[in-house]
Amino acid sequence: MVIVKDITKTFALSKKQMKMNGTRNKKKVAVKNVSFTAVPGEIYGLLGPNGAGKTTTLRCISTLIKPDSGSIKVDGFDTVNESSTVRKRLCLLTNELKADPNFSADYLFAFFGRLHGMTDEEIEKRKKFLFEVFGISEFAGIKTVDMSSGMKQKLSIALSLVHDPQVVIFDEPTNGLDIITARVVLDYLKRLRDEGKTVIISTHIMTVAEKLCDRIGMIMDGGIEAEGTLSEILEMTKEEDLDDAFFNIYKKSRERLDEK
Amino acid sequence: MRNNIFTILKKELRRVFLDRKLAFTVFIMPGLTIAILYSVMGGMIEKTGDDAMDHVALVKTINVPSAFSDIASELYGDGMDVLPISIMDTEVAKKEVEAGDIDVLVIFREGSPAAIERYTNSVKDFSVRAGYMIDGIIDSMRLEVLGEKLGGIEETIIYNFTQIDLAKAEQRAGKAIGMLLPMLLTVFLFAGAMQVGMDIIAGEKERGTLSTMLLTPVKRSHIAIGKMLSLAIISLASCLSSLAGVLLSLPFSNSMFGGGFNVSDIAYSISDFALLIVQMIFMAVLFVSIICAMSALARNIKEAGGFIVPAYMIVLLMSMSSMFVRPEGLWGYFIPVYGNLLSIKDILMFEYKVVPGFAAIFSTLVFAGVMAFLMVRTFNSERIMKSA
Repeated sequence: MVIVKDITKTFALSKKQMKMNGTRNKKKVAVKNVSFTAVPGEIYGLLGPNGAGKTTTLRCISTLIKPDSGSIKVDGFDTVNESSTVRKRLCLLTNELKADPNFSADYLFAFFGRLHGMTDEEIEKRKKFLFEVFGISEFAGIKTVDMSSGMKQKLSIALSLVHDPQVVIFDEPTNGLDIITARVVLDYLKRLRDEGKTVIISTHIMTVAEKLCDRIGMIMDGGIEAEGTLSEILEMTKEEDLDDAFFNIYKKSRERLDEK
Repeated sequence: MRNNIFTILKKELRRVFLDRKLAFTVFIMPGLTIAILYSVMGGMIEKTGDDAMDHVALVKTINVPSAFSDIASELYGDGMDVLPISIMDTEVAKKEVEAGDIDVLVIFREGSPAAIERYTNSVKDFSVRAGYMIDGIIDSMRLEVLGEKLGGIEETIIYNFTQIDLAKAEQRAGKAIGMLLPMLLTVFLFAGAMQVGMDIIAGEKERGTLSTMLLTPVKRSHIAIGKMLSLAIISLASCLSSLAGVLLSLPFSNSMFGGGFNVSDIAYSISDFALLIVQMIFMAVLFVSIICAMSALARNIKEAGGFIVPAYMIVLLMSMSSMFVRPEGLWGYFIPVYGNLLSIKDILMFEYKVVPGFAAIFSTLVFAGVMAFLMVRTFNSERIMKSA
């Protein structure tokens, strides 16, 4: 279970960034009082436009960065004070994370398995399973640098799942994937949910959210604007599909901001 | 904890040792290049010396006494060709010296005392050497004249002056090697670590592969230490390759180290080599800590290069100054890098003492510790590692 409670995260802006953003403010609030809970056996989707704070929230959960205020508990462990324990229980996959080009899939899998404290036997067993799921076995021996982008993406997913985490966090899970690999990934996420894992994804693709997520949190300008199941959100907005519901909420959010 | 550091260390070593091209570049090429380069350069320096010895100095003279040609023939035999010319040809002869067609023009002018003018061209090696030969002839002429005045050449001898060098042959060899080798070792150590060091930290940040590691339960400090240790091993191995290259080239590059010794005179014991390697290990740790700290601060390899090159320049400056400046007392040994260089010089010159040696190691460890601390802090810094 992941409990995000009232987290806020600000970043200092460089002069160049201030110029690019057209602001004199030296700080940017990326996430503001965000709270939500993702429970085992569900896929929770953070839906929002670019720059809304989805990735920052996921990076806070996965201990890569610390929130300025608020708290995050992963299976009861605090992400700031018990970060090592938290990292044993979760995985994060984003397009920014890459597999080292100098090594083969076989070597990298064993390497990350060892860093997660797994025995050689556990690593072999897990490797056999994940390599079969993602079709990696055929190219397991070649260096990552010689792999196609699709192969690399599959490998990155397998590497992030090496330790069989209880909480799986995917930032834009289908971004940059070909249709077949995207389908494999989405099916695997459903499988993880059915196995009782907590899955959190971020996306700006409405169809992915509609098909995959049990509950959705709509994040805009760093804050959660709406949360619920698909039907709850549609009912709340009186719209017929998620696309329209999203724009309805987005419009209201903009109007509120403009008023301020 | 140890397991994680060891796992990361093994991975980084594997990256270099199993990549044939990289392994060749880091471990084989420095030694090979140095062996070939130094042999060729040493051979060229020797050839230049031989050419100078074989060269017949062309000297044009105006109004010189007959004793000049006699002494020239006596001192240099066929090595000098003396050609008397008319005073009318003075300007032409000067131009010939300028052009390098002849080596020296000597003009004697009557008077009391007589004036002697020697024209040489300081940018022409043969001319410079011929000028010294002329000085030798004039000195001999002066003594002859003095001998005539005093009643015999023996009257000009005031002292029987004998020069005796008490230094042993191996000490002379050690001094020659100790002059240049510490600087070369420093350059090899730093250069060996720089290429790989930038790649395994700043390169991993740039490629996005470091974040994958930061997401494991391993402490960031352990990742930093693992990378640092692996780089120290790589740097040391690269430096040993370069050292082997220097040693292999010694029979042919003797003159590059100032000459004056035979390769057979080099008599370092196993304990000398052990001490040398110990000093190199500590210097490798120091350089690696600097490179790692700078690389961790950088967002990419290009930026890391911008941070590391000034540090490299400072190290170069220190190593060059150690060739010429030797401070009195212990304080110099307490300066990181410089102290190591002095210790290495002491070892090579058979003058190593325990206290200064330990002072150098102590200062190096303190500085490396500070750098390692900075690196770990950097790895733990969210602001700096957010680009990873």
